Amino acid sequence: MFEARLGQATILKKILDAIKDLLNEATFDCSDSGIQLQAMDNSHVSLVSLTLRSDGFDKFRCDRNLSMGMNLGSMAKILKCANNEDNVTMKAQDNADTVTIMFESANQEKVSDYEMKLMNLDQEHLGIPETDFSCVVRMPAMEFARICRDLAQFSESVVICCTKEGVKFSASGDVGTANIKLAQTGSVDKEEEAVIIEMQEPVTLTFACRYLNAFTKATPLSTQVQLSMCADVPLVVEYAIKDLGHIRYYLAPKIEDNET
Amino acid sequence: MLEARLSQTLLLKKIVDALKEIIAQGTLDCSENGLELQSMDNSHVSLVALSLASDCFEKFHCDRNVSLGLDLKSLGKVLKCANSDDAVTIKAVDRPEKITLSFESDGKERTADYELKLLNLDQDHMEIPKKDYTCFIQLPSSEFARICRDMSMFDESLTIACSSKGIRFLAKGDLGTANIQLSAGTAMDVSIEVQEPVTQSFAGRYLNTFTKATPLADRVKLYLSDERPLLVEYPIEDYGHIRYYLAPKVNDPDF
Repeated sequence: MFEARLGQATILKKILDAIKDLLNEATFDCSDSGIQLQAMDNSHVSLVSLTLRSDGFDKFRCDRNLSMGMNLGSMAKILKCANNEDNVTMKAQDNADTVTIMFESANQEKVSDYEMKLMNLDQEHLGIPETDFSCVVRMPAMEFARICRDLAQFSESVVICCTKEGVKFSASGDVGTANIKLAQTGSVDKEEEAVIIEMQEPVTLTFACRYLNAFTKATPLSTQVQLSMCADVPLVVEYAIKDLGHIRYYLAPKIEDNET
Repeated sequence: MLEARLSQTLLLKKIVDALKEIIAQGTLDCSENGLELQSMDNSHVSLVALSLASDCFEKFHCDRNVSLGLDLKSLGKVLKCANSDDAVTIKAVDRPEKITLSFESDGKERTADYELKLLNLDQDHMEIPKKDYTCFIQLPSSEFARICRDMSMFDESLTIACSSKGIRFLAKGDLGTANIQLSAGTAMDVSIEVQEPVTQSFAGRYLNTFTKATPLADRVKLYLSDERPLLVEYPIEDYGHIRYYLAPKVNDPDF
């Protein structure tokens, strides 16, 4: 049997919002260490990886490993039925063809349970090798979302250039060009506003802006985002989910000579 | 002659919004006691009854009973021409072919008159006995609206099961099932009076339409009894109400 309980439905709502535009369906793999989800987007260009650790839940029980295939659109609809501060419990039997999602208001005056049919999804679990990245940039998640949104107006491609002086985002198109430079933050009054760059080797890579924008749907989950880059390796955009886990998006760089 | 004045048009706007999704036309029966309207919806499945006592009005004068056949969509359009905080006066002569609506802004800096042609509508006036229902529930109207909306994602039928433990709403469909339980208590301010448990199923589409009356009242009253139509009542301030009646579906619930 599987049972997982979170104190506030809002975190689960945000997680669903972060993945449902990229994925229509996905498999939640449940084990005693937590819940993992890994799937390529519908056009097989980017990869999403979600990890929720068991110790981040108010209550977590998983006697036997379980895979639950879900329609994420339906799941998001069900989560809309919850108030943000309701606590939420997910339950499934060992050979389940449904999952139950229960919302309880404070004082349990309103208790709602929804049973959602599960799907049989064939999905390979890709092993993602640990990579020593040449550059790791941590920056405010809202700033990254804004940069991706702003640069999308100029081009469908964005170039990210990382050196020891800072990180530069560029786009060039019919309208003109845009360059946004972020310097490494010196003294940090507010940790969440810091821009921190760890660089072993400069990197310049080009990415499809559409996917970066889709990744920034995870902005509500975290104040900071981490970009990890290495030549010839997919970019990793990572949002920590406080006390619970993280969501990572992988996007291969475009294969073309940079004209910037 | 009829003359009825409300200090704010907003109330009348909300009332028309609550009616016009269900009925296209309706007859407003005016007497010295106030205004009443009663009509079945276009497919004759549900019934709506509006009652506004003369005390609802800042000024009310009706020296002879008069029936006004109204096209509610047209009335809605006329009301859109007014600001919500304008005063509104409805006037009609004894054998009217039209009514006049006058809107006055605060300080009478702006006045507007509209004439609306009336319709000849044949409608039976049913006497609706408010016999003793066995279950009576009060809950926040916004909560009821939300439950009806959430349930409609699952099935076109909604089952309401009422017992002394609480009230349960159930729906089951292709996506899965939904089950919402409300208990009496102070946080959500739900009150439940049950003399005999009741379980009935209703067409969710109509319940959703009834909840267009949500802006009229903070709380909604639900009355249920075996083999009787559900009554959904929204009080209108102190002297009025709008009531919706919906017959239960004739099949055993499969829950």
